[in-house]
Amino acid sequence: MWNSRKKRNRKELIGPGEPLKREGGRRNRELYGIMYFFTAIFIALMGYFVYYVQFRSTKAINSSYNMRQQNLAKLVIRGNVYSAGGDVLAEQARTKDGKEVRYYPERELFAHAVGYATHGGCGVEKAANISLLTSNAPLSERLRNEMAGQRNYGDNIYTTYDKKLQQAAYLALGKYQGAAIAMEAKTGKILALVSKPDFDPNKIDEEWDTINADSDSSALVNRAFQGLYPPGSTFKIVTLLEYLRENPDNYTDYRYDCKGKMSYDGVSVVCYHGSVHGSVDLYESFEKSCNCSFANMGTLINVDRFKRTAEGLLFNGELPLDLAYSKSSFVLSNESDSEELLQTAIGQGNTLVTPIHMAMITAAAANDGNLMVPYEIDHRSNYKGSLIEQYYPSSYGRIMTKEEATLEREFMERVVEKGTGKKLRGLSYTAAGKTGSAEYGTVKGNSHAWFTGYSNVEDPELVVTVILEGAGSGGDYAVPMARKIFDAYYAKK
Amino acid sequence: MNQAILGLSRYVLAIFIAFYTLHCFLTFGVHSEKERGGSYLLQTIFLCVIHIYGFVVLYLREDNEWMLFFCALQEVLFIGIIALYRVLYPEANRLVLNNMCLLLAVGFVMLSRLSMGRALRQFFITVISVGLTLVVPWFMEKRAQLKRYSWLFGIFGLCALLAVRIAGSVTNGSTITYSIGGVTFQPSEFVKIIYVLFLAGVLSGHGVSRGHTPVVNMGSNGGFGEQGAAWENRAGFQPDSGKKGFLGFFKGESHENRDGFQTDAVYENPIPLSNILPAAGLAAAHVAVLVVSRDLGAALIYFIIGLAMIYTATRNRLTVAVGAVLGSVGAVLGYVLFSHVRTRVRAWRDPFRYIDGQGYQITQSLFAIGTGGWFGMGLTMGSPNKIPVVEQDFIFSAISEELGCIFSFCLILICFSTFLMFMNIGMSMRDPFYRLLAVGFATNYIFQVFLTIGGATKFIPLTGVTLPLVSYGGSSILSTLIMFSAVQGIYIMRAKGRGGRA
Repeated sequence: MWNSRKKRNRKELIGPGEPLKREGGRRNRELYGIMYFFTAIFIALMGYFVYYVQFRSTKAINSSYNMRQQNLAKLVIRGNVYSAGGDVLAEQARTKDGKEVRYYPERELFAHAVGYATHGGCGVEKAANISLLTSNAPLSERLRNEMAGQRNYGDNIYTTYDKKLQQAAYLALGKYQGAAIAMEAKTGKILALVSKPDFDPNKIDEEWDTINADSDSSALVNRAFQGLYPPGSTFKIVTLLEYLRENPDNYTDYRYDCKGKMSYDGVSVVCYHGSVHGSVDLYESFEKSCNCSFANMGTLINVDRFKRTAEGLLFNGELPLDLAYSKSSFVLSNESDSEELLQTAIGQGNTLVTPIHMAMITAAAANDGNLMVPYEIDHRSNYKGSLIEQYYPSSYGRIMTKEEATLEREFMERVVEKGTGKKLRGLSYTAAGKTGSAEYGTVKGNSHAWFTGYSNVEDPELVVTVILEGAGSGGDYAVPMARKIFDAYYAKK
Repeated sequence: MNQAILGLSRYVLAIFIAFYTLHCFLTFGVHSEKERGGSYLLQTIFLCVIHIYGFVVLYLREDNEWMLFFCALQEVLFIGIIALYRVLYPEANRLVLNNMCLLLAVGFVMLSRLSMGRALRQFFITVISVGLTLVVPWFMEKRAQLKRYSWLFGIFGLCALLAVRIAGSVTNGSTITYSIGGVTFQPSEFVKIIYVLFLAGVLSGHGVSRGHTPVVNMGSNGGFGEQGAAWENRAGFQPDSGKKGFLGFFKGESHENRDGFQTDAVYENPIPLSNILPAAGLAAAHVAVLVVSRDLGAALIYFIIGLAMIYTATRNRLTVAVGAVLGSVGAVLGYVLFSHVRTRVRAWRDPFRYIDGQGYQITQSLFAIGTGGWFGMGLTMGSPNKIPVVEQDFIFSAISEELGCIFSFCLILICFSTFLMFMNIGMSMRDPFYRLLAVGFATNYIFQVFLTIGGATKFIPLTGVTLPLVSYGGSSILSTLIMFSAVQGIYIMRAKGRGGRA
């Protein structure tokens, strides 16, 4: 290597003019090398910097840890929040003594859905905080205001919330504690989002301490996104999926003789309210929500694959949501005892799920296995109404195959046709879903009423998930609530 | 009126610095020094306007007349620097001079906004440092025996670092500062300079074993007797601009072929790898001491300087490969051995997860940059003080937050143009000692810029180094000014050499 270079050098010495130039380049070859190296890393650094500022920073600075949001409020008048129909859900207003306050005309109705902007924020007010505090008013106007020391108008947020549906869900829940979600199966648009007990966001500041201290009702918790509940029989959607995956060709051969009690390895499971279902196949097991049969299925399936299926449906993982949520958990493993295995198969045990997560699994089944990312912000306009940013439906990806989704839908239709969902039968629209009565606490018989399902079985439209804390059976309590939401949806049409 | 000045400041400052930056790069494309003069003058005007506008905003916002007075003092300093250089060293490189003043000016504006006490201290130290470093170019020309003491420099530097390790105090988890009579300073900032001198001396042939081919065509007389000869052929340095587009920048610094061809000692006989082993060993010892002192940023900088200089001297790509391997092994070892390294890497990979602890600084920095956006919040309208050690390691984030990301982006480019000019000056030198010196200082400067800006923007893990001339810190100011003037010294020698031959 060394010698060859020397030789080349000699050659260059022969010609007087031309080689000189080349010699210059070669002479500084190492310096150019160093320069190129630093040029490359600086281009990367500057590219990254521009990328961060332009595309990543809005999300990053929306963090509730970012105390600088208050600085933006000094420069910008916070924008308004609207429903899909254009009803004002939040706006800036002045009190009689001239103090600027945030005003929520719908009060408790959108308490968790729209949220509040102080105390760390919640709901859309938090999710879109930076957008509301960013002004995209016409540039000339902004400059004029800045030169006059005036604040600019922040952008307005148009949500996907449907006020009529929200009211229906709100009234349906009535005095119960719990949550209700209505979401479009094909887009992931959240049309209604109710959590009870609620609060009046207009009084959030003055009543913060009392609301916050009341840990019995925890009114500030958005139960739809943050409430972790035992899924009860709604989890049979997952157990069923696992059984179908392990027995794709012979699931129709499944039979079980339900005697009201199922024993295995010294532990036992009983059917809800002491029912005895007799000989059931897979469809009947699901539509009647037969605990004994599903516990039996639990003993037939592979625990590792069961866990993988649950995690494929986003248990133990992050959900693609921009409102604060809790992670659902599925803890069954090979080390678990038989008790836990049986309980997990029927949706009890240590499994915990949020209502939005149940809604997402239902929506994926309704949408051929393709999970659409739930979202509640439709678009952002400047204060004059010009569109700044439109948010489109986006797919999270397939969480079950099309065939699996089709089968799941078939099973859920049967629940309404023949099983626990009969209160949704014979209406102007068709519906499908799964009920659940999730036992909680130590007192036997106390249960949360669940329903998760969708309307229009031919071409699924609206996904509704309801949970009523401590109400009783899903079929008796949650299904009628869901029906009220479906009714409102189709009445409007 | 006042409101208009305040309201427009975010935009006007961004536009002015953009113009300034544009001229940083335009000068590279202009051939004659005369034509470049116009750009340089415009730059000087822009930098003064940016500086004054910044202080007027501070004055209006804080209603503090001292701001205007302080601003005037600084203007005297800047104009003084530029004027003194014009008188004492008319051949000085005006781009480096302008950039130096601009970086100082931006630093003063930000520091005055963050902490007036520190700004005053910084100003005081800058005045003294400028005074001291004015003699550096003259000193380099007159007393060039610097090369003779290469090994002494190396050993002395190592001892100084060791002394700090033993006697120094712990700052932010690393032993890097040293106090004498209440004045704290960071010896690693100054050792860096003699470290570069040591490597330049040894690698250019001084102190290398006897019997080796004459590597340098001077030095026997200990002076610069042959400099004229060394400089006479400048065409040899001219890059092949036709072939490499971006190198066209450097045309301006190359000069037409005036004299006949002369073989160049270093070009003909680069130092063989085996001869640099002792030097490389001593350099590695520096790095090792810094790693043990937990001063990760400095260790990295020393390592990169060493690698760049050895590569330049040996002209052997193998050194880069060996250096890359050693560096990677060192990085992995550092990660495995030191918990504070792991902490920083963790905080870098997912700062939001450790937002209450190790990730706090970096998330605050990201909030500052993001909230400021392209045009910034306006001076005094942000919350840069929420970032711990904002005046030192995170001054870039504070500038981004209040002056805007266009401004700070331009700042990166200005730093980079300074580096290009340093390298360019190195390329135009024939004497390997000065070539190496320029490479060493250039590498040191730009890598430090990279570490601090990369750290503040979460491009790389935090290393805790300052932005030269902008961040608060006396040691950093003085050592950086020494390096800037040393490079000026090299440039002036070259320019004078040409003058001598004409």
